[in-house]
Amino acid sequence: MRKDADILRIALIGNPNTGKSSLFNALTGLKQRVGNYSGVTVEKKTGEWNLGDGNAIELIDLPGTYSLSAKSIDERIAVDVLCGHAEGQPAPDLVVVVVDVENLQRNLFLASQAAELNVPMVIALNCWDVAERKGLKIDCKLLEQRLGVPVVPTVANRRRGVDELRTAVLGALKTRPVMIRPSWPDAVKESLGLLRSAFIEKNGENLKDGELTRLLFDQKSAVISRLKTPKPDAEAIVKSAREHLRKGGYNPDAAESLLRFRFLNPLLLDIIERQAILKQRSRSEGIDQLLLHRFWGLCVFVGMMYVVFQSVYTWAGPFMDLIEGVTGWFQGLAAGALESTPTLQSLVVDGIIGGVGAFVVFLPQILILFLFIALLEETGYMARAAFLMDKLFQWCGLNGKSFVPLLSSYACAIPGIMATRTISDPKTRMITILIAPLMSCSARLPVYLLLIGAFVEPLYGPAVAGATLFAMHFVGALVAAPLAYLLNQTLNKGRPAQPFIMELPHYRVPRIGSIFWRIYESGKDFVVRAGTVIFAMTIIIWALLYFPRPADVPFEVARENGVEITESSTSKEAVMQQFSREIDAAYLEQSYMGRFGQLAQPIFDPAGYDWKITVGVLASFPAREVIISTLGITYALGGEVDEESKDLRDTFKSATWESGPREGEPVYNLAVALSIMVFFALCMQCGATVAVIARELNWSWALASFFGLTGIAWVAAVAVYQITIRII
Amino acid sequence: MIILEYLLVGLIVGLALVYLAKAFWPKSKKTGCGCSNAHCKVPKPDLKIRA
Repeated sequence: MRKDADILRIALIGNPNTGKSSLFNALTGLKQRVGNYSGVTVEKKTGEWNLGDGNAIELIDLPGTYSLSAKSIDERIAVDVLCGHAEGQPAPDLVVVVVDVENLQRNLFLASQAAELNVPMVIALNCWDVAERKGLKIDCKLLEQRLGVPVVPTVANRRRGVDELRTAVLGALKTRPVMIRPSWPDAVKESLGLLRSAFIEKNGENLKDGELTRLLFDQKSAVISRLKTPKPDAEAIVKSAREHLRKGGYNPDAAESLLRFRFLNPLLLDIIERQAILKQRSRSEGIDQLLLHRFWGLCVFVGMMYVVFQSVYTWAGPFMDLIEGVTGWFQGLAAGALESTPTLQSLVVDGIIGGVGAFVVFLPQILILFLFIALLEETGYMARAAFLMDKLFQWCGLNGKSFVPLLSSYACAIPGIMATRTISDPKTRMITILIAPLMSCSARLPVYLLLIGAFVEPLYGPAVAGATLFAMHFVGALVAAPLAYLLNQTLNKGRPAQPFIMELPHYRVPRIGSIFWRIYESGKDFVVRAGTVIFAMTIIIWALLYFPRPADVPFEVARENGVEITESSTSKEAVMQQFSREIDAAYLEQSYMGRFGQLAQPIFDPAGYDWKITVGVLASFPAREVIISTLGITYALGGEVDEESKDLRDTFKSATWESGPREGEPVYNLAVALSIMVFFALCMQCGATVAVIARELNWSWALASFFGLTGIAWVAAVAVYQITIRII
Repeated sequence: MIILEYLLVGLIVGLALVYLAKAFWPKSKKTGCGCSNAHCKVPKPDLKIRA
C-alpha cells in the first residue's frame, strides 16, 4: 500500500474562470462542476491523474485567485495548499498554472508570485481556440525560453493539449524547472533582508522567499498568523520593513504590482501578435451593449426569468401526468398484494408510495428549471447578471460578488452559502450567508406548484399561474433586500459597499454535454433525496399519523352516528364499511401527530391553517419539501383520497374544517394557498442549511437565522392571509 | 399473522429512524450532513481555515 508521502502532488492554480476545473476534469476523467463564471470552485478538489508511466498522481484543483495575497477564504485555501500550510498536506511537487491566453500579462502575475515559492512549474495556455478565433497568435517557444518553464497550449473543455501537457509534466518532474523571478530594486532587497534577518536568522522561522515577499507587500498578511514569533513582535518587524521600503521611494501597497508588471512587460514583447480582426468590436462586446444596459439590461433579465418560470410551469404537465399514472398503478398493485395485512398495506400504499410519489411527481419541473440554469451559466450570462444586480445590491451594502452565491441559492442554499467564500469582506459575507436561505431554492418549487395548480390556475388560467410562480421566486428576495440593509446598518455600521470587480467571461455556445450533465446531476440529487431522506421521513410521518390504533374508535364513531355495533363480526364489518371515512378521520385525529397538530394549530390559526396543514408545516422543518408527502399521507389516512381525487390538488379542494366556527367551510382557498406559499418562501425549513450556517459562521448565528426567518415567515403568512381573505 | 405484520412494520419504522439519525448526526467528519445533496459540503473540507 502506498503511503501518502510517496504520492506525487500536482496543483492546478490560476486566475478565476480560466478553465482550471475543465482541465482538472479532462486530466482526471472526473466530472467536477464547471461554470462560465468565476467562483465555481470554492474549495480544493482532488483527483487521480494517470501520467502513463505507471505513476498515478494526485491532482489538486484549487479555487481561482488573482494573486497570492489572499483575502477571501477560497483564495486562502489556494494559497495554503500552494505554500504547504494546509493541514496534513505537504506542498505540491509541481504546479500547473492555468493561464487565460487572452489575458497573458495579468495571469502571469500570479505565476511570477508562485515562482518565489520555489515550486517547479508548467504553464498551460488555456482557451487557445478562442485566441485563434480572435486572431491572437502567441509564440509559445519564445515564451518558454523567456520564462524558463514549459508552456503548453490547451483547450481544456475539448480535451485538446492534454497529451502534450502530460509529456511536459513528466519532463518537469525530472528537470524541476522554476520560472524566472523578478530582480528587485535595492530598496525591496534591503527590506526583504530586514525581514529575513529578523524572522529566519534571529527567530528561526521557516519561511520561503515568496512568504517574505508576502509579508512585505501585503497589508495584514495571512503569513503572520503562521509564525512562531509573537504577533505584536512580528507586526513590528513587518512594519519596520515596510517603512524602510517607503523611505526607499516605494509605496509598499502598490510596489508589487508596479515592479512585477515592469518585470513581465518586457518578457511578453514580441510574444503576442494581435491581428487586425481584434480591432473590431467582438461579438461579446456587442451583446454586452444591450445586456449590460442599465435599463434594457434589467428588462432583459426580468423578461428572461419570466420566460424560465412560465416554461417550468407549462412544459411539465404531460410528464407529471405520466408519473402520477405510474404512482397510481403501483399503489393499486401494492394494495391488491397486501390486502390481508392492512397495517402493512397502509404503510406501503398511503405512506411510502403515496408520500414519495407525491414528491417525485415534481421531477419534470426540477429538470426544466436546471436546464435553464445550465443554459444561462454556460452562455456566460450569469456573470452579466451579477453586474446588473451590483447596482441594486449597492444600496443595501452588498455588492455584485454576493450575486453568484445568492443565485446559487436558488438551486440550493447549501452550495450558495459555500460560494460566499469568494467574498473577501467578512461582514458582507456574513450578511450574504444570512439572507441566502431567503432565495427560493428548488425544494420550494413543489410546494408552489402544488398550491398554484390547485387554487390559481383553475381561477385565473395558466398565464397567471406562471406569473404567480415567477412572483413567488422573488418574495424571498423582496424581504432579503431590507433585511440586508438592516444588517448592514447594524453589523457593518452602514459602511458603503465595497467596489465589485469581476471578469466577464466570453459568451459561448452552450455545450450539450455540460447541460445534460447539469440536468442529470440535479435530477439525480432529487431522486436520491426522494429515495433516502424523504423516503425515511415518509415512513416516520406515516407511523406518527397511523398509531395508536385503539380498538374502540369504530364503536365510538358508530355510536356518534346512532348505530350500535354488536359483537357479531358481520355486523362490525358492515358498520366499519359504512362509516369507513369517518373512522379513518377519527383514527387520524387521535394519532400522535394528529394530537400534536391540534395542540399547535392555534399558533397557525391566524394564517388560516387547520391542524392538518399545521402538521404539514411542522413536519417540514427538517426539510421543507416533506410537506408534500405529509399532506399526501394525512389526507390518504384520513380517508379523503378517493377515485375522484386525481391527485393532491383535487383532495385540497374537497377538504373542509371539521370543527370550530368554520366547520364545514373549505379549508383551502386562495388566501390560505398564498399564505402557505409565503410561509414556505421565507421560513428556514431546512436542517442542512442551519448546519451549514453553523459551520460557516457559528451556532449562535445559525439559531438566530432559524428563529428570525421563521418569525418573519409567520408574520408575513398571517398578513397575507388576513389581507387576501378580506379582498376575495 | 398480526404480530408478524406489526413486527415487520416496527422493523421498517425502526430502520427509517436509524437511517435518519445516522444521516443527520453523522459520526464521521466525511459523511456530510445527510441532506443527500451531491453538492453537499457539510462538514467542511479537511482544511483548517485560519481566522
